[in-house]
Amino acid sequence: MSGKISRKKLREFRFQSVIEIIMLCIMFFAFVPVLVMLIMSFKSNWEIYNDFFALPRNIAWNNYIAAFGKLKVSMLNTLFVVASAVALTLVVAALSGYVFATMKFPGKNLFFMLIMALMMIPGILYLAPNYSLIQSYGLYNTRWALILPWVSGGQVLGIILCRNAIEGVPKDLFEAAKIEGCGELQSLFWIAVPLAKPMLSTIAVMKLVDYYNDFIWPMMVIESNTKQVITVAVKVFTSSVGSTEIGAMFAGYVIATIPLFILFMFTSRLYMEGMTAGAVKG
Amino acid sequence: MKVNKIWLTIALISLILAGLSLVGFRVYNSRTEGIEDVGITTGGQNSCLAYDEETGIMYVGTHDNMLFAFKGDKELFRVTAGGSFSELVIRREQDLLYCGNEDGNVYAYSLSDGELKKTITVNRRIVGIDISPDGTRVAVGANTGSSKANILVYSTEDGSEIYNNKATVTVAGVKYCKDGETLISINKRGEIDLLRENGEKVGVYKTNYSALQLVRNGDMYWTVCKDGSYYGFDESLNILRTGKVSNPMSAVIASIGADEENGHVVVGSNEGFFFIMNAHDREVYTGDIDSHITAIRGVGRTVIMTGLADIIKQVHVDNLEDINGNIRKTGIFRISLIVFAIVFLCSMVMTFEWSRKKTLRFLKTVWRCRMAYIMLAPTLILIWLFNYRGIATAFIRAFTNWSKTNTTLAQIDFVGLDNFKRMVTEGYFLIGIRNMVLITVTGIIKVLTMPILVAWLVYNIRGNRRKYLHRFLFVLPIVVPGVIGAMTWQKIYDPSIGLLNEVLGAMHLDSLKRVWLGDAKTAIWAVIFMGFPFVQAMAFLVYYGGLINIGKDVEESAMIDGARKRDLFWRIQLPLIRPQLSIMITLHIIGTIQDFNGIFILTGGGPGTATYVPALELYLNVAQFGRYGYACALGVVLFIFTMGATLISNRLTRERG
Repeated sequence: MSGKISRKKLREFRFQSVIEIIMLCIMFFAFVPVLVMLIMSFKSNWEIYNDFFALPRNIAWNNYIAAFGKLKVSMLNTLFVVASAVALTLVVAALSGYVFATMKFPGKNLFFMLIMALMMIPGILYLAPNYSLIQSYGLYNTRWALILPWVSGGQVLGIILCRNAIEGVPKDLFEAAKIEGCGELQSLFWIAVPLAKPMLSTIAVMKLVDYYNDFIWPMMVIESNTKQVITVAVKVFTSSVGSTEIGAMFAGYVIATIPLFILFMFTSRLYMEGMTAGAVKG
Repeated sequence: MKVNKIWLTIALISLILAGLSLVGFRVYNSRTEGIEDVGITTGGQNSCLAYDEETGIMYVGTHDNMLFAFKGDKELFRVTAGGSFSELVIRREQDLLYCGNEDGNVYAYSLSDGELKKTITVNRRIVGIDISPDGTRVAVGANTGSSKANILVYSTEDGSEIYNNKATVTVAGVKYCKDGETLISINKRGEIDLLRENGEKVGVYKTNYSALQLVRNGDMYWTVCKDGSYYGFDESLNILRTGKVSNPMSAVIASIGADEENGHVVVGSNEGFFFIMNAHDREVYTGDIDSHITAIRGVGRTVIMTGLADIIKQVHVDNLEDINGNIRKTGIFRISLIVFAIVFLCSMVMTFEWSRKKTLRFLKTVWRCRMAYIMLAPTLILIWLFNYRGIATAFIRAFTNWSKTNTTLAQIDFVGLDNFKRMVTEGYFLIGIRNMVLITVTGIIKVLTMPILVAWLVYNIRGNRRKYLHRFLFVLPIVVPGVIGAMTWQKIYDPSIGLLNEVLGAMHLDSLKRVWLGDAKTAIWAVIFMGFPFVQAMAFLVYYGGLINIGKDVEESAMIDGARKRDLFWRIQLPLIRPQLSIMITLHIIGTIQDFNGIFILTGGGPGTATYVPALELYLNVAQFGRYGYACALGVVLFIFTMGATLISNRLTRERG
């Protein structure tokens, strides 16, 4: 009997070891680009050319100083623009999510369909019209040219998730509040928002990552360096120093990654759950 | 049926007003046409221009020794000479186009087919020519060196020299008067001379700066000086019009022209700025065509300009005089049209009792729910401004010639399926489709293999903490922004300091080293291989969630029945996460068809067109070529692809179940 158990245990142990090894292999490869980025960012040009695989001998902090000097303006700008866009997204998503979850009105289904449909329509379809519309709205080369289209597209998933979260709140709660004399806005901010807080933070994290990653649109509508976002700034930086200061270039990549890394450290659970929920429910 | 007369009257009045607004809109809209591209390219540096209004043929000479003839946007012929062309003169009566060329010859070509009929040898650098009204003589202004100039007269019959008048000041142009005996010439000292063919001076008008260009336009002659002052005069050198361009940008003045009625005058500069002066010599417009303007010719109420940057533009000078006013008025009429149309519809609704009652009841409901609409307003306004307006525009303008230069409603014309035909004829799109299909299919394979494997592995780990740690680590690479990831991969593929080649070198496999992104054969595969080992975080999490949802009891009961882990996976878990697979495939298709970030950074579509995708082609058409209509058409096609692929994948994943 005991032999059988230990054999089963042994088999289980063997199985666990095998999958652990496979996972470590996959993980190693998955981290190769990150490792390349990190190691290279600390090496001098000479080390990169002459001893490619060696770890950095003298950590070349001036790579980081050079890169940060070039990128700090756009980094601050990006954080500001992305944060404003996320805040706005949360506001409109909460408003509309609440309306769709709790209220009845003519045209409700039509509006909801219109919003849902945006998930299926590729943005590239209207890249050209939007490029010219942004100019006719007078938003070209302003931060609004980033924020407003981001919010407009980003709210879609937010509305759906908020609606689902608020629909989970018992109806009686809202009715009781109404009897007590609460208006719609009050019951949104005093009942729905506190209860939907986990979902709102999930939306915030996901949208933050989305907006931060945007590249083509900012490249098209922003001209001034001071208003440019980090992804484009890094690309420009790469083109200007890419062949002469390889270490600094990689340092730029690391710098551009740091904000998301910090965010992920604190909110990984939210982010991972949000991704799953977003895909399944959306 | 009860009819309310007051509402009916309001309806009729607003209908009339709407009609008037429509008329106003159309009138002013047609006046918003400003600068139009003629649609002709010579591929060279255009230096001079002549337009034959009877046949509608435009002749363009270039500094690249070429002469072109176009009818519409079709090239009729081209000829080559020894030097750059300096002036073209059309003689319909002789069916000849006389061309002054800097190689020292005056050529006469047949107007219709470009056959060379005559060559008159001058042996000097020709700056201007003119033909006498009877067609027998040609006057040539020519310079040799900086202080030796000649005004010569040749016979057009045999090319013999009749007069040779020497001058010490560089000549800038020469023209015949109607009598065929008197010439007008301008020079670098700013003198407008009236002289006999034999050189006898009969009149002079002195300007203050050197004169640059002399053109004849109907009965008037125009010349422009270096300081931006211009003079319009008759054959007796009576100055009829004069003025000076404001030139706040200190542009280097180069050329002059007027519309055919000698109303609006246009002065062009080396930098591409042009100034339009109206009939009262008041400056009414300043524009920029980004090209050294070498010649300006009046055609009807417009002028045609050409410049060194291979640009030929038709400028509606009269419209430009008040283009902003016209645009504003167009806008006002459009708004009033919409307002009156709405008023008309509303009052029609109110006119009939049954419709009035229904509408009022509906409005009452809407009013009761006003809070919902107010709270939805931000969302609705945003998606209208930044999504649906663009979507509607894309579908409509996919069938138009909308472009960077055709921007106003008056310029945008429907061109049927031209944009869609161009996709087939131009070829880039077809190359792109091949790559797109390749990337999408390999992408689906990627999304259906590694993420499932990893999800299953993580699911099978013992211990919650270990599970969470592994999940965390597999998702962690997502903190690298996509663009940064692509740039890192670009460096990994780098031929000299790239990880891939270095590893191959270290393994003594130097023969396998490649210029991965620079080789048309490997580039597309390098793009596909980017992101190895393809543990896409989202797919992984979704599958993992799916596996957890199946529940342990199903699994345990299967294990009791003696199923192995492998059977469990293939028979139970995989079929049960089919919905998740289906979602991921759909999202993946939508994502890949419109994504070109990776390719943009890795190869930019190159080498050549080896890694082109339609989305990249679309982007380039918007951001670089400014062919918006074509970009819209590409967008529509990509949209249809997305829809089609999604439907097919949904059908397939559903039927298997």
